[in-house]
Amino acid sequence: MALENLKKWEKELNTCIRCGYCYENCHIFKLTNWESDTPRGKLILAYGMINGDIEPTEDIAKKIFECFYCRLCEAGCSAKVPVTEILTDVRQVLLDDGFDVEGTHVEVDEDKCCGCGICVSVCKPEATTLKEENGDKLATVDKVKCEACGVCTVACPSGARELKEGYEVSRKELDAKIDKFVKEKLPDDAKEKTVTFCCNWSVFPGLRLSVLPFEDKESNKTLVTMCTGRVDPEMIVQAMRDGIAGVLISACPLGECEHDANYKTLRRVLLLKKMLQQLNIEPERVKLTWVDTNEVAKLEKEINSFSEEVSKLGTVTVE
Amino acid sequence: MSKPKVAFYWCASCGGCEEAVVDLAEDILKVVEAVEIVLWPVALDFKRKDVEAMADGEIAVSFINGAVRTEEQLEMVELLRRKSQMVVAFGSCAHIGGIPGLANFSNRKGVFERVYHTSESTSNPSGVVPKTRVTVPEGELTLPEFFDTVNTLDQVIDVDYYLPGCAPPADLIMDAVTAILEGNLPPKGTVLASKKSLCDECDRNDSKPEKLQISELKRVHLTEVDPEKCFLAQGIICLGMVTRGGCGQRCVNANMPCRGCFGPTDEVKDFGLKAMSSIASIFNIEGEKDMSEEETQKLIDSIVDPAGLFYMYNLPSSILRRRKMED
Amino acid sequence: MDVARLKSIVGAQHVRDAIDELYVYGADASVHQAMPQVVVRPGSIDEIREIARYANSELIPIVARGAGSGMSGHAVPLKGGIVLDMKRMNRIIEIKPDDMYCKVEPGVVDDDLNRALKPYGLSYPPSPASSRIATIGGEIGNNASGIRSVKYGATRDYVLGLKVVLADGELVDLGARTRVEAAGYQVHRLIVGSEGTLGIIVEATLKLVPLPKFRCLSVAMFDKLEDAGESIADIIASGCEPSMLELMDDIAIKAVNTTLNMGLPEVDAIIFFEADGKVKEAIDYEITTMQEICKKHNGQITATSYDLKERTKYFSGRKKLFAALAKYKDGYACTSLADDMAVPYTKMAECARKIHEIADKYGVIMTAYGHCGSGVMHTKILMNPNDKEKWEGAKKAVEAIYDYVDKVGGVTSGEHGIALSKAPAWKKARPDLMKVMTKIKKALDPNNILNPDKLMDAPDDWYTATPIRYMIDKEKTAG
Repeated sequence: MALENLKKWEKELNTCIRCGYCYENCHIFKLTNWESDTPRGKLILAYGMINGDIEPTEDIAKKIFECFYCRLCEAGCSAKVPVTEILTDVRQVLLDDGFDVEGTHVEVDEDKCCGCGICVSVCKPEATTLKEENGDKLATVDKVKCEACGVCTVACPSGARELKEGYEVSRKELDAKIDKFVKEKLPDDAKEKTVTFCCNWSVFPGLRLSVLPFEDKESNKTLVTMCTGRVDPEMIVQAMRDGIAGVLISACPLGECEHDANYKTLRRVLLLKKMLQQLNIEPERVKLTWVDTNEVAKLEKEINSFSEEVSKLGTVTVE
Repeated sequence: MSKPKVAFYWCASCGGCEEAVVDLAEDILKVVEAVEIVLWPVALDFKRKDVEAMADGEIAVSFINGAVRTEEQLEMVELLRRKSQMVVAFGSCAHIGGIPGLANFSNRKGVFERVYHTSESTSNPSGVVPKTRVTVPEGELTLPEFFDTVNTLDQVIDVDYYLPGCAPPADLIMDAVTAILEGNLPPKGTVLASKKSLCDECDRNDSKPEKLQISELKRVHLTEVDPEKCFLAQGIICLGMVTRGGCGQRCVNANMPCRGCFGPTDEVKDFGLKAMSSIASIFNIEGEKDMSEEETQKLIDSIVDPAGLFYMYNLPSSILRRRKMED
Repeated sequence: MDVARLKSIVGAQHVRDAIDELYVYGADASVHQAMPQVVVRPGSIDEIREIARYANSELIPIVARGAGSGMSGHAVPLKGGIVLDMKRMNRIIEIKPDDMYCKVEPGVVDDDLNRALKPYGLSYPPSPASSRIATIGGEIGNNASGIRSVKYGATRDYVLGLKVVLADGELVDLGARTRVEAAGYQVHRLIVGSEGTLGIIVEATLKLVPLPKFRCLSVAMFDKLEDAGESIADIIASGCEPSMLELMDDIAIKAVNTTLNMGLPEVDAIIFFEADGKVKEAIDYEITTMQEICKKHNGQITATSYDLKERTKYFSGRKKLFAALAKYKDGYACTSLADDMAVPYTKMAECARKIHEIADKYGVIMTAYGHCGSGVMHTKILMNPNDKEKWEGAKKAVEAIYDYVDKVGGVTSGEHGIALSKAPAWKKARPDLMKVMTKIKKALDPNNILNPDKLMDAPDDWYTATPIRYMIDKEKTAG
């Protein structure tokens, strides 16, 4: 069994003292609240499989393939266990053993993919390549390497790539959240509505899904995508069309993004602002700010000052 | 058995779609044989009142091209909708706004200002400007109202199918007409062309390097363009990756990059925003780590007119639909 | 096990019995693991009552579980049965700042509670180091205490009242909401520290204290462990009121230096002490007094600060100790064995020395550190966990340490609880207590379904009580 190859991790797995501190910041655990979705849980399952205590099953495999590679578990690990490295190896082994399960990685709709190769260019871990099938070029995703940052889903010119639904980062779910916020009735003296897209790391430490480390004003909706690479200009402009006065994007500072996606976000935002200006929409309604981990106070300040500035502009009316 | 009745009408258009029908060449005889054309202003003598006299749904299919931006066009398309079982938006203008859609960067005031006053070839010393009504000794004369905003066809009436392209290619037209006559149509709302974007059928796709990027922007009219290599790989903005395929890469074959006349594929809401997302994503990826914010701004500024470029054929169908005018 | 019945009580999506869930819920932060038959997540008191009624009638064990951060095996379902995951019940029901109490469901995470209390200028202080994930229910079951317990006390001092579901499904409302009450048996106090064996906690009323305005941390270094020990005893005996009083021995210091490059001076012992309150002069007085005491015992003061950033920096050596110990030696693991005990202040230094002596004797590495201000000493046994011989040594070391602790008038656990790992040592030391506990258990849980085989009913050999989580000599240990 290929699991034998994982015996090399036994020492590290022994180092894990099972304190459970990794529960604190795991996005997936916060969503499901089942302990098998935690880093500790996954390491326990891995250890059990390596030692023959339990047999791999599809359920187990699915869990191992669910991860956004935020690495917050490692950052807070009492014993500095290389959690993502171990679980990535386990993924490969499970895949090699025939467990081709759906995880949190990006999926490609082959009916829509035109084989343009743009996704290949933007993927830092080289998790996507083009394959040839019946003379067609199609994008394919390496389930082990994909870290589910989403930068390729926005770069894809056909909308053929998407993150898995159920983790609050798919387009459908983000659109629904914005739509709900658009329809919310605020008190008369509230500021104009703003939406803030945060990268997961900008809000760390202290990010517990749906429990932000600061009080979200009633006039602002903070949406945490795992990476700002996932922020689609279509979402920004649709929001403004529907009554959101401004959109703030909080990304890791240049050079700090695990996926190099903040460079793409910067270019997209600059180009969007230029186009908005041409359409006579105030470009300052879209703002990109750099917020590093541990700078939550800065983020809160940015949201407040952005809300002030944008409220002066009112909502967008085109006709 | 009576032949199905068919109507052709044109709104804000250039006449190229009418030409496209004529371009069916010999095939047009097959069409003419199979149907009874009851309206075709450019070619036949039927009048509006002839259409008004018909029963609702009497016309099997109306092919309407051109965008809707005057009162008359609106009335006519609404009339045809009432009288037709099926309406096909024919060509880019009806589908996504087309070139006339660029007028959404302006409004009536701006357009009239330009056309009747400031254009270099205008000679209008008394400053005459069209009005919607004027009283003359014989009575009152009217002209249709000129809207501020250009609309796509489906923004004013219910549309059953779309034939994309500026103008739709002959083979797509024949396929669509055949499908209609045979009653062999896909679900309502389908755009009758390829499901995938142009890269899928473009013969330059294989010439792309493994990691495609635009390292430095080249403008097509200032560059010697390699006729075999992918435009993007040469630094020239081509919108083929966003644009629906089915056109036979006519522009590419003429060594010009695609400009998006077939509109986006099904999943995309706003062609211009999708196009700019993709282009921005691959713009100097190799050098991105070494660029400061200012240098990145400069890079972006090398795209001289992004709104005009990315919204060239589709501004009315975009999320914002038009430019916001100054008060 | 009627899984369908359980599903009808809580909803199918809150019941799981597939291997991926069972295997994980069979483990906690101890060396033990065992598999339950089903994991159930109740959402209300009524659901828990129904589950208890069902389990009691069918003699199915129930283990209530919070975050599973216990180090002695509290949450390990030794006899299979139902694991009751209480984390769904995580509402803060109410905060009463004027009455200085709050009511919470048992699944509320300690840090979340303190975050919610902060805007009111209040705090729930007995938080253990695991407060970022530990739930109130688990903390109560364990009578948890933490860094600040030297001044603020343990969980039992903060539980004003509890709602508990008994084994037969009956719901009882215990305690009160007032600071003091002399109204009946202090049964809620009995539940505190009962490790889930007497009832299922479904609601807690907790006392709150004001957040101190200032905190000042100071650090003292000693060339002799005994001097450090004497300083600690002296500080407490002289009436000082530190809000934190921590010790690190030389092995702990070496660990943080080698694995984390902390660059701490390689002395024999370091003490961290803190004073807090609302008047700076009062805090200055406390700190100065404690510093004088340290100096009297040949200590060298190396840092003092009110500033949060600086305090965090100075304290980071102690805070990151776990990580350092885990990576102390290649191939060695940090096992939770003899990890916790409490001894009289005057025996602190001697205890630390004894630990080193026993470690050397039995061929393992042990370090001494902890909340010595409350008399708590922590150790970790570092050894190659795959080597059976080392386990033999470890077993003897555990026994020897607790024999010593008992001899000097200490107690088997200061904070981490008894459950499984410490049960044999504790049973040896407290036969009278065991007798009374057995009577109480029989009265409240006659069918013995609530977390059976823990505490006084735990197996006599912790090593074979459950499979050990490590692969020892490539074999699985007995279960």
